[in-house]
Amino acid sequence: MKTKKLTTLGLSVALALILSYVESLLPPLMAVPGVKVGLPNIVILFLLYRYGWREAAAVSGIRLLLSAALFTGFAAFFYGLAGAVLSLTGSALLKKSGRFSPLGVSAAGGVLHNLGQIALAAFVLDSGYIFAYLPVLLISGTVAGALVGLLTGILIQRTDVR
Amino acid sequence: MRQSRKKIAPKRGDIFLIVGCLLAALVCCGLWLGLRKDGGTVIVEQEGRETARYALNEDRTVKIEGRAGYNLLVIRGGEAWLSEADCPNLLCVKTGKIRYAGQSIVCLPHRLAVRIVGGASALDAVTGP
Repeated sequence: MKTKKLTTLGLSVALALILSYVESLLPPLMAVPGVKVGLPNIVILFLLYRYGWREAAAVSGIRLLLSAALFTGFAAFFYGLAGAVLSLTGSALLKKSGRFSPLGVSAAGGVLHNLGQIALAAFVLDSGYIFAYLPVLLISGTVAGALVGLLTGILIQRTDVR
Repeated sequence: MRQSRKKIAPKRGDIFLIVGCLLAALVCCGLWLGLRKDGGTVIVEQEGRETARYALNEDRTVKIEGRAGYNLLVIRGGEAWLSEADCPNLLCVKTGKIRYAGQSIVCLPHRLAVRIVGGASALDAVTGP
């Protein structure tokens, strides 16, 4: 059992990494940094439901580190981390409340992800004016998160072998 | 199987979450549209520090050089935009033109922000009785 879990988590890192690579190949959807679907989050959300927040956080952190080293660079790691910490904390709490399905949990996670990134950007650039992007990022986070949540819901359902 | 299907089926709470997020976006958007003002001054910030300041009503083209690369700033007809850069994703160029106070163009790879502030032109100081 322990070996199986270890293997699953290892494969999850690889899968999330490939998904972030695939996403980096897509042209930016809009001229605002941070507007993207967040394909790797399908894996993270799936792990949150299948195992728990520790496993999801571990895979998310390793994925960010590797993807920063391979594709996106040092700065992107911290932006990704700011988003991931906020998003995962919020998602885990919402899931724990038991009132929401992956759809809602993920939509809120998407919004929190964007809030984390914009807060860090405001801090790094030392300029609150970046918050003018907020409406766009709130909407894109909701839509992208809902999409990821929908896909993950299907995935959880189809892969439930127990 | 049955239990897990119940766990992941969309719930009423989801609607509240999603509608809440979209409403927040709408409120932000409304605030922005209602409160925006035409800008007067273009401020260039590199690595969090202001490095230049230009009037928005004077046409000019400036090459902004930083440690990581350059961006070409164009100010023309009351609008400002970055027309050229050597950053990897060119999001700053794709951001397009800005004209209102509070708007900004950000180039994260170069740690550059070009933003507009309102009413800083010298003429504003003498209006009024």
